[in-house]
Amino acid sequence: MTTLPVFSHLYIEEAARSLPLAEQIRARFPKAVEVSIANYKEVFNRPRQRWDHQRQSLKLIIAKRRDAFLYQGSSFVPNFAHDRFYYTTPILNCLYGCEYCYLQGMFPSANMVVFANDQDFITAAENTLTSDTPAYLCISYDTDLLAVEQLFGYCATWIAYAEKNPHVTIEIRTKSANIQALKDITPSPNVILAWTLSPETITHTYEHKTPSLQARLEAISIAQQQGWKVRLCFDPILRLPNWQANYRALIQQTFQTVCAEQLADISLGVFRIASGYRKALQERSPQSKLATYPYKVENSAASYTKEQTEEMLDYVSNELLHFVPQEKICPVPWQL
Amino acid sequence: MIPFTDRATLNHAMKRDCLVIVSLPSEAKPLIEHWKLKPLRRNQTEERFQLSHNNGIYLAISGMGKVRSAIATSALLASKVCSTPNPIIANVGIAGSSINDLLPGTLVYINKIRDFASNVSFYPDVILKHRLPEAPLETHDTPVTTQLSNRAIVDMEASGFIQSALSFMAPSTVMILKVISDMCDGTKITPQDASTHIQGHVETIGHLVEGMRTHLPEPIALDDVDLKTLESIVSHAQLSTSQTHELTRCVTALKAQQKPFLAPLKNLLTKPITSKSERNAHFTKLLETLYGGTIE
Repeated sequence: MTTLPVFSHLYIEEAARSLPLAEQIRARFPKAVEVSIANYKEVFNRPRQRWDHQRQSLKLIIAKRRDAFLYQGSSFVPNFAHDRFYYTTPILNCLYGCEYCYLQGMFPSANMVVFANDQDFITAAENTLTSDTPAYLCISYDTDLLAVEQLFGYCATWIAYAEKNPHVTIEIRTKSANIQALKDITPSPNVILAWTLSPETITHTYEHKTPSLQARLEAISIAQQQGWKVRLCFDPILRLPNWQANYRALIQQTFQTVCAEQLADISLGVFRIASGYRKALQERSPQSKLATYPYKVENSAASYTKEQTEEMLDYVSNELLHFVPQEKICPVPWQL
Repeated sequence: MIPFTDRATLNHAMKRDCLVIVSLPSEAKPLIEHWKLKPLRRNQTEERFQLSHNNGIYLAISGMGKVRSAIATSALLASKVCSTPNPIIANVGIAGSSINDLLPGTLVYINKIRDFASNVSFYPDVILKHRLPEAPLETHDTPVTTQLSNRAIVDMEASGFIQSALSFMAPSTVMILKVISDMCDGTKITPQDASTHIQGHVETIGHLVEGMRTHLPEPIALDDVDLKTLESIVSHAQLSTSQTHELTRCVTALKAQQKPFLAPLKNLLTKPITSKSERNAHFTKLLETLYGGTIE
């Protein structure tokens, strides 16, 4: 007996059913079983859900976001010198299964929620991010939008918004190699495609279902050729056996494919997680060595010690300096 | 006391027990014959229900109605009658249909249960592949003898069953299967009819139950030796509740990763603890010993 395919079931909020994006998604999955729901939380927030069971056959919940379209940026993530730093969550959860991902601690379900009222998100951004001050908006934090662009088209929606709102810099963070999805879209100068890169051994062992490192690098190269602004994110840096050699190899491999001069910048950060999420992560994935590593816990956060953090950031920065100038390297201003 | 939810490690090799709740003896008969179930000696917990057992399958006859179904489900789950700590649970029975293409004799996999009286809905996860039609179900307090405006399957037990089951268990370990007995048109269903409907699908029901028992990763408890050692450490070191949770998570993780933990724990048992600061230092040492070299 095998498991049902990904998105074998569409749980659809009645309020979302008639939205154009919901209809488009339903048309993409004509064989999916549709289940009507009153509110996405009925399914997504059920207690005692087994993340490991659900990962075997992810379901898609199509909902309508009613409030909280934009959130203020968290101190766990860099704001790249923007005082007005927001993020938005048009989709909850991710197709990929990275063992260290905070989403496992944050959400009670592995299933994916897509909010089909995309225009309400845009309206909220227009109302909140007024043109008097530059703003920085991350749209792909609690998911990987580029990985599912063919299904939901959220990147295209936000890039169109960015074109009309040049005071807003948009970051689309991804591990995907799906640059093809943007082939018909003109690159926008205030949209940054930010790729998370990890050593091949980490990608292979801990970043389940993600594209290989080389596939990501080739996607970055194509994006650069097409004229997209690209950010590299060596984040999270993980302290695993031979981490120095692995990160050196990663950086060398990266710049064999990626044009250093064209990079917008490079973000660096060691693994860090809210301690509450870490507990949940540990309970959900007791077999994961990353989840159960003895991180230092302080001020409701778990990470490496100050000395370890400095050592890791210094090492990776120094390796990067062989390829890019100091001013392009942006360590995440965060430590315990 | 070690928290129950922390007692989990992944083990794909174990086969889960299965609890099956049916409402009527006539629905149970074909299943009892198929699984060759034998009556289980009644004790105080289960005395209200007929309980049969064989080879990891436990079948209870709850009686009619959602309240009886909920009582039977709760009693069974609370009684820990099963030999494995995290069984799967299924509700099997006959139901009416107000969906024109789901005719009498059809076995249906239920993907949503709405309690008609309270208008509250429940959702089991459907993870494993099957070839049955799926449909939502409404649980009514009285028999439905007229066609509903909603397209749904209709019964009198499932909402009680699932509300109780989901109080104990993961939605992915709960399954509801119904055989259509009538089209909500007032047709009288005899016990023989009910048996015949279930009998027609016992192979498929058996196959689905076996699939869930085998293919969903099984969380197993720390065994008695682990728990005893852990409890003696907690008691000896007078650990706080949060320290106990942390230690349990750590030991569970090490067990899941097949790392040694009993010997280092026992080594630390000999040191006397006389103050809170000693306790905290002891706890830090304990974690360092256990985690030491986990990755690096």
